[in-house]
This record gives sequence, structure tokens and C-alpha cells, in this order.
Amino acid sequence: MPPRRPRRSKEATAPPPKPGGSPIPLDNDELKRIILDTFGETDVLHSRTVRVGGERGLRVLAIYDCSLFNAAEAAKTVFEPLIAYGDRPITRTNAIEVLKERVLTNAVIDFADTIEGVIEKILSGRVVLHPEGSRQALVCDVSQTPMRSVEEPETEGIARGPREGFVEQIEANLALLRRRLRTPHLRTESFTVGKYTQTRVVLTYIEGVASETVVAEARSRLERIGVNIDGLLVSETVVELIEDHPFSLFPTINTTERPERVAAALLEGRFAIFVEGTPFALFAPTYFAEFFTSSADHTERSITTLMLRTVRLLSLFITLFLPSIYVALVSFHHEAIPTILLLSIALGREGVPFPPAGEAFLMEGAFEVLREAGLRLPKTLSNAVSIVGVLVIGQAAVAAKVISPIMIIIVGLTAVASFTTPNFGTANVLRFLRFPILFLTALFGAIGMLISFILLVTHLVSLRSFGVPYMAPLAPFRYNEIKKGLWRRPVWDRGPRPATLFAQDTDRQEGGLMPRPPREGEDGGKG
Amino acid sequence: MMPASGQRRLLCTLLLAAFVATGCWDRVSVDEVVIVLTLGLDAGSEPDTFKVTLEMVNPGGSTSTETGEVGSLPSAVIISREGRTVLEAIQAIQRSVDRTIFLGQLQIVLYGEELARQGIAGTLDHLQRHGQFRRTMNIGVARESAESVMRSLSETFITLGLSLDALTIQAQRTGFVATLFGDFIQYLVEPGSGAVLPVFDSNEADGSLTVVGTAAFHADRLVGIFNTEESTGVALALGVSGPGLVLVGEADWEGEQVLASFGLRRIRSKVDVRLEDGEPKAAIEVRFEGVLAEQIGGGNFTTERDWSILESMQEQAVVNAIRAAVEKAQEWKVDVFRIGSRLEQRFPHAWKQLEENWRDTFAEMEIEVRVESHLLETGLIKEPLFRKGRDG
Amino acid sequence: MEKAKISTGGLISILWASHILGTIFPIAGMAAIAKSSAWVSSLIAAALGLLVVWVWLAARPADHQTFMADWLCRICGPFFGVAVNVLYLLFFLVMCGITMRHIMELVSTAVLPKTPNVVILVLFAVPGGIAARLGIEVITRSAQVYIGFSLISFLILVVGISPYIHLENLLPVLNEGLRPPLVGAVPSVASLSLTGLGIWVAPYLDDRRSMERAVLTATAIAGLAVVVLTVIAQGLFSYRGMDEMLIPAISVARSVRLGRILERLDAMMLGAWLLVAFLGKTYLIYLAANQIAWLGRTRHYRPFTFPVTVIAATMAMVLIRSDAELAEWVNTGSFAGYVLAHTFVVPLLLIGVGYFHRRRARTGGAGPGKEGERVP
Repeated sequence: MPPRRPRRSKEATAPPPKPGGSPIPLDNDELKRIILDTFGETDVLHSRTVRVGGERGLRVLAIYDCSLFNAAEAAKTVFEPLIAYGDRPITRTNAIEVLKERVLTNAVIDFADTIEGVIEKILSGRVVLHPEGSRQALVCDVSQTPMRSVEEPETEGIARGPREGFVEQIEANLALLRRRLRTPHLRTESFTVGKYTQTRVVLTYIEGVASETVVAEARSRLERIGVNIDGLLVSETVVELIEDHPFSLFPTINTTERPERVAAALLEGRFAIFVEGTPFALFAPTYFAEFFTSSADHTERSITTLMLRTVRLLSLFITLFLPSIYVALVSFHHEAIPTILLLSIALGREGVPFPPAGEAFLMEGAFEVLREAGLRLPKTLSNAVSIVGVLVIGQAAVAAKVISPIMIIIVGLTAVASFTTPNFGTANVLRFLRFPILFLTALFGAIGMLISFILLVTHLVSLRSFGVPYMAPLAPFRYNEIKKGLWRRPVWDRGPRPATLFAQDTDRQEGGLMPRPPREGEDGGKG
Repeated sequence: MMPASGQRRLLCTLLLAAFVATGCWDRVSVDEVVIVLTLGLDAGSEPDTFKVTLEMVNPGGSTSTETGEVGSLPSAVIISREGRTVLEAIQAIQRSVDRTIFLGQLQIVLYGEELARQGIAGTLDHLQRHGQFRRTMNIGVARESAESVMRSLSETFITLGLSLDALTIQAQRTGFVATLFGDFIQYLVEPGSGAVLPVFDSNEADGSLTVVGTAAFHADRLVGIFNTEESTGVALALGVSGPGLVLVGEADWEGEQVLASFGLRRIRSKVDVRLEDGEPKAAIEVRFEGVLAEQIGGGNFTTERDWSILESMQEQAVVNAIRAAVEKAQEWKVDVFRIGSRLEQRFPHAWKQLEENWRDTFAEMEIEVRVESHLLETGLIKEPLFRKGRDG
Repeated sequence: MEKAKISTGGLISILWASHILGTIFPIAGMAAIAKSSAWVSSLIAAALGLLVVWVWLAARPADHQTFMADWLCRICGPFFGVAVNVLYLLFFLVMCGITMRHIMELVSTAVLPKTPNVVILVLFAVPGGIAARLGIEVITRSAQVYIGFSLISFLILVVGISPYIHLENLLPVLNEGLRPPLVGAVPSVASLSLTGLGIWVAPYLDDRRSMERAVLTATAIAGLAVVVLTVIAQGLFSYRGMDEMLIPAISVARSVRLGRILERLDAMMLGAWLLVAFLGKTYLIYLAANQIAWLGRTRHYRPFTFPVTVIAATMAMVLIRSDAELAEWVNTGSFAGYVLAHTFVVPLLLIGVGYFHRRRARTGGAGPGKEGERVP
């Protein structure tokens, strides 16, 4: 099967038959036979023939998958009108027009021109109507799939702000997005990905804002996957197939569960990708710093946000380097510790059989094990894990002189700090990264730490996300974007769209939006 | 982290393996070292040898109690050994300590008075050269010998080095001069070559650790020890005394002896030099602000008229202290005020001639003391409750 | 010879970085020669450094898109052009080796005394090779990341030390005339002039003007760093103290007194400096690899980065035997002459030859290529 071209328009005017694909036979029974043959043994596929236009009227074949459709709606919007049409005239030649324009009350009507098209429609839960003697089939959308209601996202909870999160249905997600961006410039391009799953993937962006080259690049990468893969079940699969640096530890595509976050990203000139069946939207291009921002930042005061982000940055360093700093200080650079602290550390280390580095590996490893266990277990059981963790690792290990007390503090701090990273995936990467850093530090002390920092920075600055430098706006350094992106100045001071995103339209807002009392001699306005 | 081909990955693995296999040379865990807090230096029993005394803290080492629990207090060990060089002696000490001697946390270097009088040149090189010694560590002189002072105090003070370090701060607030190691060696090589160090001793009566004076060094030799008042003078002249220094001023008022304690703040001083007909002249200028903290005898001086009595009392106290210091310094021919340096900075050509006989010139030169002060506060009351000699 | 684009700020960061070790090593030599006028010497060095770099700028290609290697060929003719390029290749390699040696000495003196030097060398060489291989953009961007750390550490240094600086130590000024400070400034001028190497990557910048701005600003900043560091060191230790030290910068870092906790963070302080020194080394590896690529008439410099790193590391071990020898060579020895030959004499010759060509073109002789069109 050749890769499908993206469907640019959803407007239902009879399109010319698609090249390729077998034509629909004129005969109802022939079509029914072909379809039934294709599906083979299945008990969910139903067909029904209705005669429209009196006893000698036109035979219309309806085929549908009864596991996917809403029977009540199908009865009301498809079968009832068909039967109620009565004896009024209908011919083979005008059947399609008459059915579409005067009979069917269903809101979304589409056409299928090929057998393959018919099969695809059936699989997406539509009712396919084929009037006898027609080369086309009418498609009515009466699909209904089990759907979760829109709930508050769990991984990205915020205290103030919208409480809606994406769900598994792509239509619902697009609705959530469209409600926030009521503009005809919001483009949605559909792709079908996966040979067997035929998953719908939608690329959205705002025309005139997003860079055309970036969008074109995204489009071509999505098209490249097409049906060359057997299936697409989660959005991370798309990430892995279209990201810039498949070997990197760091994600170059951001994900979110929050519609307003996607809307904000689109407004900045990025694009977003929705994947059917995953309540996470992907958006790109993205920066490294962005993984440390949260939707909550925009509901706080500007200064508070600056403080929170400083805390997160500090936590980032703690997560990566704190165990290493401990090891470097305790086994290499004793002179850098204040004397009293050194004495108390040495006192705690007395009788501990492992070297500091071994101790650190042991404890950080134990923490990872506990965390993983707590995550996999049901909530009721994970309490048990934490109790065991506290008792075994916290108390017993220190009491038995297996671990020094300061190490417990270090592990605890590192763990807590790693939870401040708003992005779940990045937090995991960072937690993993502290092991290689720890290893180098165990060998060379502070110099090992320095080398690992150099390697980390070299890697980070070499990354790009859809052509945008990953470490922007720090490197390349752009003060204006640091002001807006990292610092989050108040909205009236945020200036143009980030230049690093290559947005077409860089003007974001008019100047002089800062609220202020009217000056003397000026019209006081409504107040 | 980089996308790597199989070969490159193999190379990386080999390199890593090489690193791991060869080990980590500088790694020594904190529980494998013994932390030296005090380093004492004395003259050895043979001529031209040194005796090094180390106060080493063995955290939680030997104070195990009957319950089998390791004690929560670190214990200090004091060991002395002799050697021709400092490092030789330290190595000799290492032979009787089961852990690596670590000098990076050294709090203070104590010179025995005897060695200091003979000259400390031989000991300085190692302290400067070895990376573990810091320029910011304290340095002091112990009365008679460092070893005996350290031993006599180690009973009372578990971590003597830390106590000495803290005491130097207190010493600075009470009219003594504390000099950091880096500054000390710098002063020794400067023109004039005078430097001062605090002198520590254990108090015979109560065994407490005490600062008893200030040692004046010329080049690498201790020449004399200033007593308490003179030390205060040196500290004031050098402008190194911390806030909170208390001086007692005297005055005669209506035939009555008045004593008053002043707290000194914001002490700023400078040494001004000039040449008159090729003769160097120096003036020590001190400015400070005082607070009347105590008054015995006398009446209400907190009036506009009598304010000057208090001010002249505090100024006189400062002048007396500095004068005493200057007299002693000139007697010992030690330029502790670093007048030589100032001369070199201001009059480099004249200094070249003066340099040769500087000690004698210094001993004879005229050193003026100028003091300017303000009395800021007088506390909560106006005058003493009782006046001396009257209805007492 | 890659597809890249760098910003003025980025180039400033690398150039300043590639020079930082040059600033912290030769100040001991200044004190030895200029005595108490060492700080004057540093001022002179900053000024002369700008002058030398200005000569560099005058000698740069007429056309913004031309690479320096091609330009040398065009000016000196095919044979001498290649010869000069080989000369510069060797220069880059030697400078890279020296920078590596500097890093090694700093680390082994101040941080890891017992670790074998080779290990330290390899430790810093490998990431250097990797970064150089990734190209000029990556080097620039890492420079922009590191420069923040370096600036913060420099600020901590200045803040932590300033209360202990005695400005009287800066006296007497020029008591022995202008000659000693001038002589003492030469090693610093030499290392400052290295910022002129920025013109090797000029075509990656937007235009000629931003190139000028970047190189001059970088030199000015580096000069300022030399001055600040010299003033600090002299104010702290007086010139006698500076003269005695092998590497005054380490002693400066070790003299920071910022409360009881921060005062012992000299290792961290050195860390920030090492980051920047590492960048300088990476930049030199990149230049050398590009030079080889040019000589081999290939557009791909990447395969050469690792060989270059190995060669430079070997040079770092072989050229100099001990830290004392390194310090002597840099502070008082022929180092300055060697560097200035490449950064001052050759550009002067280039200007001269270019002028000669232009004159010949005007009088009807055949100029090299389109030289006659060059606008001064």
C-alpha cells in the first residue's frame, strides 16, 4: 500500500477518486462480498440493506462495525431518515446527492471512492452507505468509542489555573485546543501512521506564526514514518521516530497533558502533534530550559516564578552533582570542608566498611530500586515499600554502621531535588545521569566532576530540536529571551517571540501594556 | 553519550577500563586520615634540627566506652619527633600513626619561643611550598616551647587547634595582633622586615589557654615580646584590632582620680612618612570612635562642656599605648609598624640609601603619634552613683 | 570549512577563554622584571595587546568570506602560502600543547598532586577532541555556558579578596623608569595577541564589522582581566610575594576569605578557570585540525581532530620537562618571541606584501588575484 498523502481539507465536497485502490463495484452484493471477504471471520461487522424510494426504489447497503458505533445515533440519523424517505423518487444517478442533501440527518458526512477507503471508514466506526449503481459510498460518522471524561492531569497538576487535561480521543483533544485558539489560522493536518493500527496523528500549528521550514520539516518527518511501521500506540513512539538526536539521553521534543500549554506553545510559533490514543501532546522545537518550566509558572507572580525557577535550577544541580560533591569532598578534598563538619563526617564514617564512593553507589542504587518498586505497586502497597525503605535504609543501615548518617542526608536531598523537575522524563534522565558523574568523581574527585560537566555541556550544546539550538537562550546567548523564557518577566514586558524559534511573525503584542494610572491631561478611560 | 560506532565504543571501554584498573591516586577516604589541627615547631635537641609536634584528631578513635559504643567526642593525640627538616620530622611522626597525616585542615602553626629566638627561616620553606598548607592559617608563638604548651593544654582542650583558632579572633578584639601565615611571611620579606605574632601560653593558675603578649620579629628572629599594653599599641598603630577593644583612660578632675573604660570602634590608622633633609620622619595617625562604657569617679561629663574631657581621656589612652609600643620597638630595633615599606613606596630612591642601616635609623628616628577621636555614646546613665572619696 | 554560523558574543567568549591561562601565568614574570610597577606593566600589556591585535585585523582577508589559509596563499603565492600555513599549523599545535601543559600543571599542583600527569592530560584531552570534532558552533555555545561560571567565580574571587588588598603595595610607581614595565609586559602582550586567532573563523560571522568588534572586545576584556588579576595579586602579596610564587593565580585563589565555608573553595574556583582553559585548548585543536584539512585539500576536518589532540598532548609532555621550566619559559624566556613572531611579525609582513602587490597592480604589474580591489 503506498503511503497516504496527508488529508489537507475536511470539507466534504466529492473529491476526485484517489489514484490507486480498487474502485467500488456498482453492485451492492458485490461490495458486500468483497468487504466480508476482506474481514473474514468476524462477528462485529454488520450489514443491512435498505430500500429507499418505495418498493421499487433504490437498494442502499449499509455496512458498519457494531463494536465501534453508537447504535442509537445510527438509528436516528441514518436508518430512520432512510426509511422515512418513503416513496419519493430517487435514481441511481442522483442517489448520492439526494441522500446527502435531503435524507441523511447525520452531521458529518464523507465519501469513500475505493474499497480501501470503505474499509478504513468501517474501521474508524463509521456507517458506510452504498447506493446501488454508484461508484461512490457515503460515510456517516456515528462512531462511539469508550471515552474517559476530561480530567485534571495527574503528572502536571497545578494549584491555580485550568484543570483540564487531554484524553485519549484525538477529537476531544483537538476540541480542547480549538476552544483556546479560535482562529482559522490554526491548522490541523492529519496523518495516518501504522500499517495495522492506522493511528491518526495530527500536526497543528498556527499559520503565519510558526516557521514554515520548521513545520515542513515536521511534516516530512511524520510522512517518513507513514505506514512503514506496523503500529503506533503511544506518542513516545512518534518522538523516537522523528527526534533530531536518537542517541541522546535528552528529549528534544516536549510533551504535555495540558491544553493551555500546547496553546501557549503554538502561540510562540511552535507546532504540536497529537497522537490518537495518547493523552499527551508533543510540541517542538523546544529548549532544555523548557523542561524546567511548568504551566503553574504562568499563574504565579513574576517574581515568585523567578524564585521557583531558581529553586528548580538549584535542584537540577543537586540532583546531578550532590552525591558527587560528597564523594569528592570526603575522599579527595578534605581541606574544603569546614573543620567541625569534617570531624562530624569522619565520626559518622568511623567503622563504615565501604569507601564513600561505594557507599554512594549503594545508597543511590537502593533509592532507585525503592522508587521503582513504589511506582509499580498499587498505591495501597507502595506505602509498605516506603516503610521498608525508611526502616531498612534509613535506620537499620546507619545503626548497623553499614552506611554513614551523612550519606542518608545526601541521598534524601538528591531524591527530593530530583522530584522538582516538572517534566517526568527529564527527571528520570537526570537521575540516571548522576551515576556516571559519580563514577568519574570516584576516580578523580572534583576534576572528574568537572570533566563530566564538560562532557554534559558539550553534549547539550551540540543538540538541536528541529534546527533550534537546545541550550538556547543561554547558548547562543540572547538576553531578551532569557528575560522572557527563563526569568518570565510580567506579560507586559515579554517582548517579541523568541528569535531562536524562527517564528514568522515576531510581534507578539503592542508595547505599553503595563497597567498604570492615566497621566495628567490624558483621558482617564473608563475608570 | 556520543553516537558511537562499535570500534569507538570498544576504545572508550578500554580507556575506561585502563582508568579503573590503575585506580585513583589521590583518593584517601576521610576515615583513613588523621586530621592535624595544630603544628608545633621547636628547636631540636641537636643543633640545626627541628622538633615537630602535631596535634592530631582521630575522630571517634579511641574513646570507646564500656557500652561498646564509640564515643561521640573526637580524641586528640600529641606526638613530637625530631628531624633535620620539617618534613623529615613529620615523616617520623607518620611512623607512629596508623593513618595518613593530613595537614589541609591545619588551624595554627605554633613556634616555640626558643626556636623563634634562634630563627625560623628553616621551617618556612616547607610551609610555603607544600600545597596542603594555606596562606590563611593562623600562626603564633608559644611561650618557651610549643610542645610543652600543647601538651599542658591538651588535657583541657580536646581540639586545641580549633580553640587556638577561635582565641586568635578574641585576641584581636582585646588588643592583640593576629597575623595570618601569608601576611606574616610577606611582612618578613618587605623592607623593614618587621612582623608581629600573638604569644600563647597556658595560664599557670587555672590551666587556661591565654594570649600573653605579642612577639616582634625581625626577619626570621623573635626579638622581643610586647606586654599587653604595648600589644594594644601595636594593634592600634597597625589598625588591625577588631571592634570591641576596650581601653581604660585616666584623668585628674577636681583633684580626683577618674577612671573610664572606652569601647573603641571604627579604628582606622595609617603610617605617614616624610623626608626632612634626607632624614626619615614618621607619624602614626589613628582615628577612631569611642563609646563610654564605664566610669569610676568624677561627675557628669555628658555635657557639652565636659565632653572634651572624655574625648581627651580616650585619646590619651590610645596615645599612651602606642607610645609604649613605639618605645619598645625602637629599643629592640624592630620596625613592626612597617615604616620601611612606606618609605620604599613613597621615596624609593631615598630608601636605597636608608636600607642598609635601617634598624639603627629606625631606632633613632622621630615617630609622632597623632590621634583623633569622637565620643559617640555614653550609655544609659549620666554619672556614677557614688563619687570616689566622698559620701562613699 | 563547515556549515556554521556564530555570533559576535560567541566569538568573544571563545577568544577570551582561549586566552585566560595566558593571563594567569605570566604575571609572576611581570613582578620579577617590573618590580612594584608590575601593575603598570599589566596596563601597558593591555594597551599593546590591543595594538598588536589591530595589526592582525589590518592583515585579515579583504573579503569576508575568505578563509585565512586561502588568503595566506593568495598573498604569498602558492609555495610560500603553503609554507606559512604549515608554520601556523605547527604554531597551533605548540600553543595547544602549551595550553594542555598549563591545565596539567594547574591540576597537578593544586588539585590532584599524586595523580600521574599523563592521566590528567588524557582526562582533559578526550573531551577536548570530542568538542572540537563537533565543530565551531558547539565550541562557541559551550563557551557561552562556561563564561557564566568563569565570571561568577571571578566575581567571588574579587569580592572575597578585595578587603585584603593593600593598595599601598602598588607603590612606588615607575621608580626605575619605563623600561622594566615595558619589558615585563612582553609575555602578556604575546598571550593577549593570541585573541587575533579569531580571524581564522571570521567567515562564520555575519560580517566584517562584527569580526572587528569581537576581536577587539575580546582583547580588551582579556586585557582587563590581566590588569585586575595583577592588581589583586600585587595588592595582596606585594611584588616580592608575587615574584616568589610559581603560579600567583593559585595563591590568589587560595587567599579568598569569604567566611568560614567559602574560603576553602579554591578547588571550585580553579574549576571555573579550568573550564575556560579547556575551551581555549579545544579551539586550538579545532584550528589545527582545520589547518590540516586545508593542507590536505579536503573539506572534512573532523577525522583530524583526534590525531591533532594526540599530537598536542604528546607535545605537552615532550616539549617541556617541568613546571618550573614552563613558568620560566613563559615568564621570561623565548615564549613571547615565539608567539609574537606568529601574531605580530607575520601579519606585518602580510600587510607589507599586500601593499607591494597593490602598488604593482597599480603600475600595471599582475597582482595576485583580485587584490587591487582591497579597501583599506
